[in-house]
Order: sequence, then structure tokens, then C-alpha cells
Amino acid sequence: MAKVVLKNVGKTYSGNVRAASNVNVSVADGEFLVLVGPSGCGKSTTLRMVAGLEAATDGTIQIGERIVNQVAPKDRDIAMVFQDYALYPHMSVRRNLAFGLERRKTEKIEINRRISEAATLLGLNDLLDRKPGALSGGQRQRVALGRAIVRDPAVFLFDEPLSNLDARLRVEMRAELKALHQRLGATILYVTHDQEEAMTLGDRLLVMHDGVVQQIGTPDEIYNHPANRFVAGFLGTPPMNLFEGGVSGLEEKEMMTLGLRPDAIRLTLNMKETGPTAVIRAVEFLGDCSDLHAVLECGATVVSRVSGKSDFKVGDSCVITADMNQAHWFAD
Amino acid sequence: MFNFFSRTASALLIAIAIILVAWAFTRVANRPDHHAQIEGQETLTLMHWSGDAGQEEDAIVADLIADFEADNPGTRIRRINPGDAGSFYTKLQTMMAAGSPPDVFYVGAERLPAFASMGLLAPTPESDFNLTDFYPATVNAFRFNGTRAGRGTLYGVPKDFTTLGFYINLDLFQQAGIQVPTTSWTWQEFLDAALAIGQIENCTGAEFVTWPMMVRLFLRTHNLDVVSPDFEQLRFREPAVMATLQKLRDWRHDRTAYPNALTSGKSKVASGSSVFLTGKIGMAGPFGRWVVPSYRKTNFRWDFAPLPHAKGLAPANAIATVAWSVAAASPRQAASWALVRHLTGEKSQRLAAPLGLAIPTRISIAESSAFIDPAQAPANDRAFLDQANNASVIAWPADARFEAIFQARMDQGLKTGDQTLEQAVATFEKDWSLVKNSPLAKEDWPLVNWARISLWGSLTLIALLTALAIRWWRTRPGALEWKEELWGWALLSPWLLGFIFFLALPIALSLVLSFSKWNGVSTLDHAQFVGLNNYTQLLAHDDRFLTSLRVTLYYALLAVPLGQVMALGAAMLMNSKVRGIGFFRAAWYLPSVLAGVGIAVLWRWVFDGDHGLMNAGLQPILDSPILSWANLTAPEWFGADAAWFGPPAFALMSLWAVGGPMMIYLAGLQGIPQSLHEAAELDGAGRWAKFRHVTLPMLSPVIFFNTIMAVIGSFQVFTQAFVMTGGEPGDLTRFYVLYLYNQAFEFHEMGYASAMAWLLLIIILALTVIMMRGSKRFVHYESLSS
Repeated sequence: MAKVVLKNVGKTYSGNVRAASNVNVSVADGEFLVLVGPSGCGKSTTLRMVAGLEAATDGTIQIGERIVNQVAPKDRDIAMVFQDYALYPHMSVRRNLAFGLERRKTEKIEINRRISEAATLLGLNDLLDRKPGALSGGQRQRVALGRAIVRDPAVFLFDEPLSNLDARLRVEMRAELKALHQRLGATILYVTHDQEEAMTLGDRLLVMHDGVVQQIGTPDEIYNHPANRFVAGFLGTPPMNLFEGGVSGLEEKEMMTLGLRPDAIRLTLNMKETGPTAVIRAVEFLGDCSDLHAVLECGATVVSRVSGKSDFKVGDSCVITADMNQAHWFAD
Repeated sequence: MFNFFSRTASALLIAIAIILVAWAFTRVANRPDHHAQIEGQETLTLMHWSGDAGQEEDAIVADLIADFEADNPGTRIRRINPGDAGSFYTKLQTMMAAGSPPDVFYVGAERLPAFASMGLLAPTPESDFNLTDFYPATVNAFRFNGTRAGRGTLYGVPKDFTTLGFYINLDLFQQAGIQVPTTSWTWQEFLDAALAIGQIENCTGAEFVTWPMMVRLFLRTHNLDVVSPDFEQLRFREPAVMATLQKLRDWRHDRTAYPNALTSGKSKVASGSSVFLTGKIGMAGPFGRWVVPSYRKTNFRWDFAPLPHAKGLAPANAIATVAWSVAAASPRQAASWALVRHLTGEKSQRLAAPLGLAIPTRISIAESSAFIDPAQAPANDRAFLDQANNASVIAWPADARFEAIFQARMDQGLKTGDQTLEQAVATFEKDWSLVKNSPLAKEDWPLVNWARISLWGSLTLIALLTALAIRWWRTRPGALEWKEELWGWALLSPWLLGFIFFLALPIALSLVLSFSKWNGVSTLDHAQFVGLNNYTQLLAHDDRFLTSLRVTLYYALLAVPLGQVMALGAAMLMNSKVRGIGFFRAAWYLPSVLAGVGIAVLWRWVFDGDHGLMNAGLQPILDSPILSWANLTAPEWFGADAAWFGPPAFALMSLWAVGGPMMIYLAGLQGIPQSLHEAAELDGAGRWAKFRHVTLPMLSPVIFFNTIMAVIGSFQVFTQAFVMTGGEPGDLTRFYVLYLYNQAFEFHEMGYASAMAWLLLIIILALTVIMMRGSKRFVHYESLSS
């Protein structure tokens, strides 16, 4: 296992399109780092630069003690799991697992040992002689994982590996991945656009937007102390309510943004309470809770999360109150 | 609302379609040419060609017809001109086979025995023509007595003719100090002149074409021939015949005894009438008058010399001539012969004479200033006329295979010289005896019982349709699906009808024909049933068939792998992301759009032995220090080395069209997910391993498809071979389909050709099945679904 250090890493495509700039992060040995952000934010590009599938135009990439900018992908001691799994369709599962080892002239006995180890770990023993076309999505996902595991690499790279699975399977695989990480103690760089996946899997998250790193931190830090409006709005379902406005009481009159998560906002049908009034436009019942979408007089929409047992109806007028202890203030 | 509009629109579309179809049919049915019969008026169909003189000949015939129509208001002429003589005969055969031949048409004397023996030509009412004004040799050329031409019933009235001789380059004659022959000269004088001119730098004495007619003409001047007048006895084995042919061969190929006497003629382009135009050839022939229009465009002085004769023998000559004939099946005999009288009349011949292409057949016109024009080359017009008196047509057996085999063998024995004369003659004798002794040569085969075949065919079809109908009834759809199904059939119907009438029926017919003997010219009721004889003859006795199969296999063995490797290589290049890749893709694909005859003509020049681009590039490489020790010379692709290099030349040429499969490969390559290559790269695969383990297996279904298509295509080579070599020399480039074409349209063996077509189908089918079976381990269809 090894650490990964990115220093001022950037990627500029021809035509001056900047996919990523100034990425600085140090991934500790055995750490699970999730790169998260909306599509096109540069997270995949960053991962591919670590893999060597794209050349970094700026900065240095260090894996272990080695600067690998000029090292070929196959010599970087990494393994990657692709979104579409990239299994060789004409090869059996066994051959798929063996291919990388054969290329590296690993001994036959050793190959078989590693394959059976990985197959046992992932529950692939009965599938070894099938071809990928005969496998379900989840099974293919496991084979892709197995192909990375048998290589016993210093770093695992995952490029949205779960996004082709259906929702239920995704949750299952998520848990398995987490368990696997703990068992292998591997260094993992994991790209996803799914914030839930990011929060549940990552030891730390790296949030990117427009090619720029917004915040690096533990899920707790990111959720509870978002560094800026983008991070605040990106993480959490439903997203944080953001209100722009001038704030009085400061020396210079400054535009600030107030951020309140839906569970920090409370609606009451008791019109005698003080606070802005709003009309409920939609009620989303989620079982144990409901999300209420209410429109303020000024036209802004507020989302509030309330108990699933409350009896708000569309069209009800209500008064909004907020728990200002949970308020976030952003200056940008 | 929307529903209303879409309904109106579809109703409108259907109405428009119905009106269009109705209009098209009424228009075709009422075409003025066919049916606009005016009361009391008769319509004659006339067909002719326009050869080298193209538009001028077309215009003259049009004028002659206009002239005739002005004089005969009761008759209208529909004129058809399909182009050159080849297309003319193809169309004529089709029209005859359909039972609706043109009333009046050209017939070359060389085709007369074939047509007359099939009973396609009407006898000429001789008393209606003043034949005494015609050169007797030209009239006799159209007589046929059932076995040989030159005597018997007259089947046409000659319109023009030519005698043969050599065209001579006066500048070279002057330079070599040779006297120009005007009235007569001997072969020895001819040879001396050729040797003298051969001494001049870069010049060759003469181009002596070894066309079948010219070889026999050469023998005729020695009072010899290759076959007895009744075509029963071959005369090759007479010592004098062999010696004379050997002499001709030596003049050309014995370079020490006769340096530069004759052109090598090793390749097709290096021979023929156009070689004279280079100005480096002293004499060219034996040619008739037909080359004059093109020779008049040269910038050196030239003239015509009579054909040399053997010492001690009287001069002898041959004529080539074309007549106007009338179809035996024409119901308008009187009007047709009236038209022929007009077309061969003095007025008409006077109009046509200045074209220079041929000599009027009427003595009075030929001897007049209409033909003899001292202002234009050749000055020696007289030589053409003087020879008419000791000329007659060179007759061929009615079976066209005699001439074809003769040509193929003499090509090898005399022209390219890749066989000795002895070998060539022996092969000829064997080939011809196979044709003559074939059970198919019998005339008394029973007629094909078309009524019974139609009956059984219809019964089978009805049974099949009934079975289908019953099956359909069991699973018949509900009302809603029924409507959809009806629409499906309605939209399918144009293609279905086309398939039934233009594909399925002809295919079924050809199957029946493959068991019969039919000349493809007379109507189908003349077809005779021969059982399996076509097939047994082909497989057991026809050496030319086996040769064509061998040539085709040799070609396929080279062209298929070479083409696939090139196409895949090109596709991989075209798959890279470089600036202007669109241009490169188009540039690679473009040649496959530009295929066909024009390109074949260009490639013929590329592979020309003496002047071709290929050898111009190849020879310096062979002469380079690395290879010079081997002392190699670039091959005569379509000449003396054609046995080994002919098919490879075609294989090289086939790379021209590599763009088609390339496009399919490119599409296949782009269908391979990028992530697979990346995964392989991370797995440690280098360039070759990625190609071997990812690209190839992923592409294997595409490779397999392209390979099968290429195999099928390589068995169907025709155009290139037809245009570039015509199968020559000998049969060394006679591809399967070309031989099939020869049988069908030159030898009039439509049944034999049909059998060949069905054998070809079986061969291709077998190959495909073998490839399908053998491919299972190599073709990964999984790559299509992922």
C-alpha cells in the first residue's frame, strides 16, 4: 500500500479548456478518499491523471515515494475499476482475472492462488468459467473488483463503479466495498457524483467544482462545516436552503448567504407565531419524514424536513421558524 | 385535430401514389414508339452500332433513315443504337431470345454462320437487288449453306467492307532507306523492312497482331489453313502449317535471329492498332480500313501497303464486312427489304463513304471520288480495292468456341510465347476435341417440356403457399394486428414483387436451364433437355473450367488476406485522432466509389510490362544493390509471366477498393469501448498485446463478416478481367465468371453457363459453411452484445 500525493496538479486540453487546476491533496496509506462533484467537475480527469490515462499538464503526482508523471500506467502499480467494468467480453471470468497477471509474467501457480483467493473473497467461485455476458450487473461489478484485487496494487482507483447498478444493489455493494476496504487496508481513490455514496464510503471527501477543489475533509466536516455555498448546496438531501441578503449589524454592509438545512427549518400552521409566512406547494412523504416545499411571499422556495406523522397539506398557509444555531453563513 | 390532419395527409399521399403508379403504367403502355400506329402506317425497328466513328456513324444512319421516311410516308422507322458492337450484339441476342428482334440490323460476316445456323436470319430476295454492282467477295461473305460460309443462301446485303494490309510509317521507311511497297510485296521484303527499321534507335519493325483471323490470313497467303474447308479436319499437323506458324513465332520471339523485327506483344496494351500511333513502329497490321479515322490524327506521314504474299504464290487477302440483315421472325419482310435496298443503295453509300471507316461495297461508289480521296491519307486507297479481287471472307465454324479456343491458344503460342507452338497446338486440339465429342454437341436432345415444368412448379408453389396459409391461419392476428400486418405487406409489396419477378423467377429458370442446352438467342421453346450432362461435362471434362477455377482460387487466396490486412491496417490508421482525419478517411474511401471499367483501363496501363507504372517502380528496386545479385526482371504481369503474376496483379489491383471494408472495420473499431483499451493498458498490455487481446477478438465478428464478403466477392471477379485482359493470355487470367460469360454470350451455351452459375453458388455456399464452422473458436460474438 502507498500514499498518493498530488501537488498543484492541473490539466489543460487543447483550446485552453481547463479540466482541473491546482489540485493539492495527500492521500494517506490505507485511506479511502472520495472525489465528489457534479458531472464535468474534473474529478474523473483527476483520477485518470493518477492512473496515467491522461497526462497531467501541471504539477506532480506521487505514488508511494515515486513521482510518476513520466511513468507508464502499467508501471504505476495501480488498479482501476471502470464505470462500465471494462471486462473483456470474449474471456471467461478466470481469464479476465488472470489477464493482468499474465501480462506481468506472474507464475501460473501464483496466478491460480490469487484468483481463488479473490474469487472466495468476492463469492465468484461458481462463476469463474462463465463469460461476462452471462453475468448480472452485480456479478460483473464483483469481477471488475476481483480483477483489481488480484493485482494487489499499491492504490485502487474507482471511477463511478456503482453508477450502472440499480438502487438496491448499489446500497448493497456500497457496504461490501466499505467492508472490503477495511479488510484489505488499501489506499483507495474513488470518484462518484453521488453524495450519499461519497458520505458513506469516504474516510475523507474531496469536493470539486469546475475543475477546482472546493473542500477536503471528513464527511462530518464537509456536512457540518461546508467551506462555501457550493459545498453546502451540493451535499445533503434535500439540499441546504440558501438565502441571499444584506446583513445588518456588520461594519460594512455586505452581501451574505444564509444556509439552513431542511431539518433546521420548522413550519407551523399556528399563524400566531412570529416569522415569515409561506404557502405549502408540495408535500413529499418519505415514510419516517416528509419534505415540505413552501413558497415565501418574496417568491423564494424553502424546503423543510418534518416528521412523517405531521399533517401538512398542499395549500396550507404556515409560519416559518428556523434554528439559527444550525445556521451557516457564507460570504461569497 | 392532429388525428384529422394525419389522416388527411395519409389519404392524400395514398391518392398521389395511386395517381403516380397509374400515370406511369398508362404512359409506358401508350409510348408512341410502340403503339401509336397511324392508320395504314407500318413501323420498322432498325438496330445498328456506332463503333470508333461514334457520333458520325450514328448521324449518317439517322440521315439515311430520314431520307427513307421522306420517300416512304407509309413506313416509320424506330432506330436503336446501343453503342459499340459488343453492346449491340448483347441487345440483339436479348431481343431475339425474347422473340421480338428488330426487323433490320447489322450483322458482321464473322457472326453470320452462328446466326444463320440458328435460323434467325431471313434469306435475301436476291432478284430485288442489283448484286452485280457489289464486290463479289463481300456478297459471298453473307452466304451460308448450313455448315460453311461463302456459298449457299444469302442472308444479308453488305453495306461496306475492308481488305487487310499493313499501315506503314513513311518517315521511318525513309530513314531506313527502304522503298515503299505500293502494289505487291513478299513476306521476305516485309521482314527485311522490319529488320531495317528495327535498327533505328528505339524503333521496332512491325506490330503483327495475332488475332485469330490474322493468323489464318497469314497461313492463307501461304496457301495453308489450320482447318479443312468443312471444318472437319484440323490441319495443324501438316509440316508446312507448323513451319509457317513457327516462322511467325520466331519473327516475334527469336530476338537474336530477328532483333527488333516485331513488337514483343507480350502484354495486351503493347499490341493492337494504337501502337502505331507512337511513331516508333515501322508497320502495323494486318488491319483493315477501320483504323484510318484514328490514324488521320497522327503527326507523321503514313500510308497503306497491301498484304505481303509468299514467294511464288499469288497474293491472297481476307475481307471484313458488315451487312444489313432482316430477322427471320419479322412479320414485315417486304418493307424490311425495301429499307435494306435503300440503305445499301448508291445514294446511301455515297453519303457514308467519306467517313473513311470502311469501303463502299458498290464498285461504282468505291471506284469514284466519294471514296478515293487523294487529299487525305492514306494515299494508296487503290491498294484496298485491288486486293478485293483476290479476297474472301475467313469463315469460322458456327460454334464460336472454335475461334475462342484458337485465340486463347495462339495467344500463348504466338503472342506471349509462354507456351511452345507445339504445346499450344496440342492444347487446342485437346480443347476442341472435348467440345466436338461432348455429349452436348449432339443435336437430337429432346425439347424441354415447359408445360410439365410449369405445372409441377406451380403445384409445388401452391402446396407451399397453402401450407403457409394454414400456418398463418392458426396464429392469425386480431383485428388491430391484422391492420398492422396488412400495412406491413402493403409497404413490402414493391420489393416483394420485384423479388419474385426479377430475382426468384429468373433464378428458378436458370436452375431449369442448367439441365438443358439453349443458345440464349432463339426463344426458350428451343431449349433441349440434357439431364446432368452440363454438370458432368464441366466437372469431368472441361479443362478450361478447371483452369478458371484454379485462377479464381489463386486470386482469392491472395486477394482476401491481403485485402483484409490492408483494410484493417488502414482502418486503424483512420481511427486515430489527428487533424484532418475526415479528409484522410474520405481519401481512402474515394477509390471504392470510383470503381468499374474506367479504373480497370487505368490499371491495365499500370501493369503494362514495358510502359507500366508498376514495373517502372519495381525494376529499380530489383536492380538495387541489395537485390541485383538475384538478377531479377520485373514480370510481364499479363504477358509471358501471367501464369504466376496475372492473378496477383488483379489481387494488387483489388486493394484499390479497400475503402469499403475499411469503413466497416472503422465502425467496428469505434464500437470497441475505450475503457477496454485502458483496462488492458493498466493490466500491463503493450501495443501488440492490446491489439492481440482486445482489438482482434472484439473485432472478430466484423473480420469474419468482411472475410466472407471478400471471399464471395473474389469468386465474382468479372469487370476487371473482362476489361483488362479478356482472360488472356490463353486462359491464364480467365476468372470463373468471365468464363461463364464467355459460355453464355459468346458461345451461346446458356444452359452450360447456368450450370456454371449453380456450381459457383454451391462452391461459395460450401466455403461459407466451412468458414462458419471453422470460425467458432475465433469469432467472439460476445463482443457485439457488451
